[in-house]
Amino acid sequence: MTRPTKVPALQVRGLEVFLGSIKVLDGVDFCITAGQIACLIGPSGCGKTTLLRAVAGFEKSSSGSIEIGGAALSRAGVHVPPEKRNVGFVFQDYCLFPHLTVDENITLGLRDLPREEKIRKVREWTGILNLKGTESMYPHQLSGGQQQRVALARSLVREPGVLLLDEPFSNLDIDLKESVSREIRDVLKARGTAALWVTHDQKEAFSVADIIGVLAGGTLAQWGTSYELYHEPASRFVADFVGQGVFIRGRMLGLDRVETELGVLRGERSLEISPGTPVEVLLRPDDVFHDDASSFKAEIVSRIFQGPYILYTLRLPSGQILLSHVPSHHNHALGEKIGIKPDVSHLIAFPAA
Amino acid sequence: MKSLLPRPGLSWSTSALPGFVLAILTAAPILVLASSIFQPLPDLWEHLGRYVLMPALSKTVQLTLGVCLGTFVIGTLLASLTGLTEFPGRNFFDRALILPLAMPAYVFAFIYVGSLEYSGPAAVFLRSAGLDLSTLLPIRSFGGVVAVMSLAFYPYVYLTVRQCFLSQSQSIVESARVLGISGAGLFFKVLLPAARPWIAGGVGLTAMETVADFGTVSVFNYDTLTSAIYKAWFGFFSLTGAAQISTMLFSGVLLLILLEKSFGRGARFWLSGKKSVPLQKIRLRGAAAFSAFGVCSLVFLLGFCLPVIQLILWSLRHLSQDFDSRYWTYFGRTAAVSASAAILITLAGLALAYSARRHRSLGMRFLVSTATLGYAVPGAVLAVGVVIVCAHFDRALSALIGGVLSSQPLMTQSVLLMQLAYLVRFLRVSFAPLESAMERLPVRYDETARILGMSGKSILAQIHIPLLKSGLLTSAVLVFVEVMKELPMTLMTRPFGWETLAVRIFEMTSEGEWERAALPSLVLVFCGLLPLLLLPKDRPDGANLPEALR
Repeated sequence: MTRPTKVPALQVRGLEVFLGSIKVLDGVDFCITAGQIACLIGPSGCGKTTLLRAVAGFEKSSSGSIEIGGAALSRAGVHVPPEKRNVGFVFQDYCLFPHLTVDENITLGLRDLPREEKIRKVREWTGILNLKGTESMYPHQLSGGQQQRVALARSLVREPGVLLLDEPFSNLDIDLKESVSREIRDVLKARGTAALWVTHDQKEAFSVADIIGVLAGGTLAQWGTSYELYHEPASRFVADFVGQGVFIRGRMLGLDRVETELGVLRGERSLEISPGTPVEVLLRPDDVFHDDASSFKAEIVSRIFQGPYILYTLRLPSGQILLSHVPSHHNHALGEKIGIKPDVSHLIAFPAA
Repeated sequence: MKSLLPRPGLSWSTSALPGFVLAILTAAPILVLASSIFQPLPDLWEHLGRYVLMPALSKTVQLTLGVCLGTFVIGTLLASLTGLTEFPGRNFFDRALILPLAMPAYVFAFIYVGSLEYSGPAAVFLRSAGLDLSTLLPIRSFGGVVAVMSLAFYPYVYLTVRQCFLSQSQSIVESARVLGISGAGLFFKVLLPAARPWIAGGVGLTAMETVADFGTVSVFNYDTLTSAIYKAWFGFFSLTGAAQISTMLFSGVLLLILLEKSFGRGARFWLSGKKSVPLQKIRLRGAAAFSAFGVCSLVFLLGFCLPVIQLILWSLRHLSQDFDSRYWTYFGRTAAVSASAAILITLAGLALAYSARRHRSLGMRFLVSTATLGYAVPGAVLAVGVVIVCAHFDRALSALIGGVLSSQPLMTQSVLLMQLAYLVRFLRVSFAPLESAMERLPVRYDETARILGMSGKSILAQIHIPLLKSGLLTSAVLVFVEVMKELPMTLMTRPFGWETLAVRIFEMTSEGEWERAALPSLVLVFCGLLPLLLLPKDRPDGANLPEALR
C-alpha cells in the first residue's frame, strides 16, 4: 500500500467496536484516498456492515480512530453524531421516505439552501442519474433501479466527504446490477467522491473497486487491489475466499519451487518458506491447462459450461481434485481422461496445517 | 438488524420515562385493589357474603357460560356461512353482520326489555297476533339476558373466525381431499378444528366482556359481581368491600386470560404465506341458499335493524318533550369528556410507543405490558382502584400543604379523576394502532434522516408525524367512542350530578323509562359506527381487526 500524499478521504486506525458484549471489529486499519472507491468483502457476520455503521457514527467505537477529510470523528472520548459527519449512506433497502416525492426525498438533506439552489441541484442530479421525469413521483411508483438511484442522488447531492454503500444492489436482478454498478462507479469517479462499498459479490467488487478489503472475523485480512487479492493473497483464508481454486499438497524445494504430484512447480516470486517445509499450493482454474501431450492424466468428474470456457472438475489418480478452465471448444465427456499441465506463474503456497 | 434485538436491562433516560410513568399509573390501582384483601371487614362480609356475593358469583359464572355458548354458536355459524359459502346477499352480510358492535350491550338490553315486557310495543303487537311472550319466553329471565348479550357480543367470535377463514389457504382443503375427506367431514374434521384457536380468542373476549358488563345486567336486575361492586360502594358505602369484590372479579379475569392463552392463541395454525390461494367458497343453491340467507337476515334484523328502528320510533315520540337545553349539556359534556380523553390518551399512547421504540429491552416490554393491562380489567374494578389511589393522593396532598388550600379534594370526584381512569383503561386502545403505525417507521428511517443531517425536531415534523397521521387519527377515534360508551367507570368516577349520555341512559333505564333513553342511545350508536367505517380492507394478517381481537 502506498502512502497517500494528500489528506486521505477516510482514515481508520486500530478500530475496535463492540455490539453488546461481542467484539465485532478488532484493530481494523485502512485508508481511502480522495476519489478512491474501496470495496469490503468477507463472509457474512465478519463485521462489514458494522464497520460501515461505525464510520457513519451509528455504532460507537471502543478504541481506535476514524477520520474523514482529516477531521477526527471517532476516537477516545470523541464521538461526532451521524448528522454532523458529512457522510452519505445508501442502505440495502434504499430507505426512501414513502410519503415524500422523489424531489422531496432528494432535497431533504439540503435544508439550509435557498430554494433556487435546491431546484438547481435536484435538476443536476436527476440529470446525472437519469431520473428526469420522476421528480414528482412517489417511491412506490418507481422501479427498483430508479429507487436505488434516488437513494444515491439523495446522498450525493450533499457532497459527502465519503459515500458509504451497504450492499446497494442485493435487491436488483443480475442484469440491472452490472449496468447500475458501472454507472454508479462512473458517477463517483466523475465527481471524485470517495466511497466505501460493502458487497457480498466478488464480481461486483472486482468491477467497481480501486481497492478491496477482505474482512474476516472482525479483522482486516488483506487490503489491496483485485489483482493482489487474486494473485498474491496474504493468507490462506484470502486465497480460499477470493476466486476459485483448490489446494494440493507439496514440499518446498527452494524459495520459488515446490514439488507436487504434478511435478515441480516454479513461480516468478520467491516465498518466505524455508525449503523442506510441507505446504499446500493454491491451483486456480486458470493455472491448470489442457494438454494432450502431458503425461499427467485426470478424469473428468463434472463440467459447467460457462460460454467462452468450460469449468472442468478433474480427479487425479491419487484422488486429488483439481479445477480447470478450458476454452469451450475443447468439449470432453464425463469420465473421459484428459492430459493436463500446471502453469503457475504466481506460486501461492502456505505451510501445511 | 442487531440493534433491533432486545437487550436485557433498561437504562434510565428521558425517552424511557413515559414507559415508567404509565406503567406505574396502571399498576397502582391494581396493586391497591390486591392489597385490600388484607383488610378484614367481618361485619359487612357476613351480610355481603351470604346475600350478595355468593349469588352474584354463581350468576356471573352461569351468565358467562351461557353467553360464551350463545356467541360461539351464532358467531361460528355466521362466519362459516359468509366465509366458506356463496349465496345471494353474502357480500352484504359479510360486512353488515359486524354492525351490532356499534351498539353498547346495555342499549340492546333496554330496547329488548322495553319492547318485550308486558306493556312493550312488540309484546302488545305479538299478543294481538295471539302470541303471549310473557308466559312463553319471558324476557326478564336468565334466557333473556343470555340471548341479548349473545346478540351484542357475537361479532367478536364472528370477526375472529371470519379472519381465520380469510387467512386459511385452499391447500388445506385440497390436501384433505387428497386424504379422502370431503363434504361435511371437511368442515367438521378440518376447517373447524383448524379454527379452534381463533374461536377460543373470540369466545375468550366474549367472556371478558360478559364478566365486565355492568349496564346490561342492571337493566335485567340480574345481579352479577359488577353489580355487587356497585352495591357495596353506593349501597353500603364501603369502598373497601367494593375493592375486595373487585379483586375477586379481577382474579377471575386473570384466570380467563390464562385459559384463553393456554388454548394456544399464540400458536395459531398459519398455513398461508403471501402466495397462498384463498379458500374457494362453496356455492349454495335452492333451500340451502335460502336458509343461509334466512339465518343471516334474522341475526341482522334482531342484532341491528329492529333495535335501531325501535330507538328511532321512541326518540321521535319523545323528541318534542325531551329534547331541550339539558340535552345540549349532555352532548356537550359527553363530547368534551370524550374528546379530551381521546387527545390525552392518544398522546400518552404516542409517548409509550416512542419509549417502546427507543428501548427494545425486556424491561421496557414489561413496562409496556403493565401500562396497557388496564384494558383487560373490568371498568367497575378499575374505577374502584383509581378512586382509592386518588383518595390516598388527596389525603397525602392535604397533609402536605395543610391549611393553605381549602379542604376541597383535588382528585376525588373531579373530571381529572375520570380522565385518569379512562387513561388507565383505554391506553391500550390508543397504543396498539400507534405501535403498528410505528412499525412502518423502521429504525433505518431515523438513521437515514440523521445521516442527511436532520435534527431531532425536523425528523419528528417531517418524517414521523406525517407517517403516523393515520395511526393518530385511528387511535383518537377509537378512544373517543370507547370513552363515550363507557358506563361503569363514568358512573363511579364522575363528579356528583355530572351527566353524560351513557349516564343519562343508565338513569332513565333504572327508572324503567326506556323510551326516554332512546335519544341518547341513538347518538351513541351513530358514533359507534365511526370506528367500523375506519376498518380498512381485509388483510390476512388481521391488522384490520379492532385491537381487542388481535
